[in-house]
Amino acid sequence: MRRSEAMMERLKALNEKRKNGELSAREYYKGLMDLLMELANSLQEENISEEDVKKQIPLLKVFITEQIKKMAGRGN
Amino acid sequence: MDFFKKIFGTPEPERKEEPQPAETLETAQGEEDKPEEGGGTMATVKEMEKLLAQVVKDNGLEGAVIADVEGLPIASYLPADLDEDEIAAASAAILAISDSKLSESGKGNVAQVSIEAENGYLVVKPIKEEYVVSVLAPKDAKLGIILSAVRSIEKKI
Repeated sequence: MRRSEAMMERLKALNEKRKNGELSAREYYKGLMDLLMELANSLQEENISEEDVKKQIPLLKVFITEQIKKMAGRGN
Repeated sequence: MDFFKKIFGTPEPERKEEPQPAETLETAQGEEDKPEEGGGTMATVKEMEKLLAQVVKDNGLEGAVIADVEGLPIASYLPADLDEDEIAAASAAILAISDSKLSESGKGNVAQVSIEAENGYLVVKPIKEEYVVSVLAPKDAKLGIILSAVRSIEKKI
């Protein structure tokens, strides 16, 4: 199984568990963050086109900026 | 002020009298009048800032930003308490998500995105596959006027 397929299956499993009430919001968040870390590591090795990279940058910046500000708001 | 708080929940703030200069590579390097690479009829950052200021004032808008597709601001005219970096990045992100999902749905590329919030509007439009223009408007603004203002910016870039 390719890495992308494995990660997609994990994502679907997380979504399904959350829908069924098997995961709390916090557990769901943790699962998504774990998946995000694995994805980020995998993407470092990917040959992504310049065009795709440019399109992804704003999303990353917004996510990172918001998270850092929220961390600061929590005093960290 | 947090961009999202501004859009979704607080009254209109005071504005600086003069356009807020955008920190760009060109300005940082002291080349404010250098034409934008690959630019069309609109040549300089200063001209872009003047254009934004004029369009905002003439149409009763709150502010406007021109960014590149990576969400880095090129020129802006904004209330003093709004962060051009955040608006530029958020606008490019909104556009990227919309474009991706609508293309997948067979609707083609996004022409513009209009968001109505409790206290106003945000309109985002891609221009020439190089720029992202975003305009903030108060609640009592007419959407037609806002869209017309965005088009007038587009024509001059």
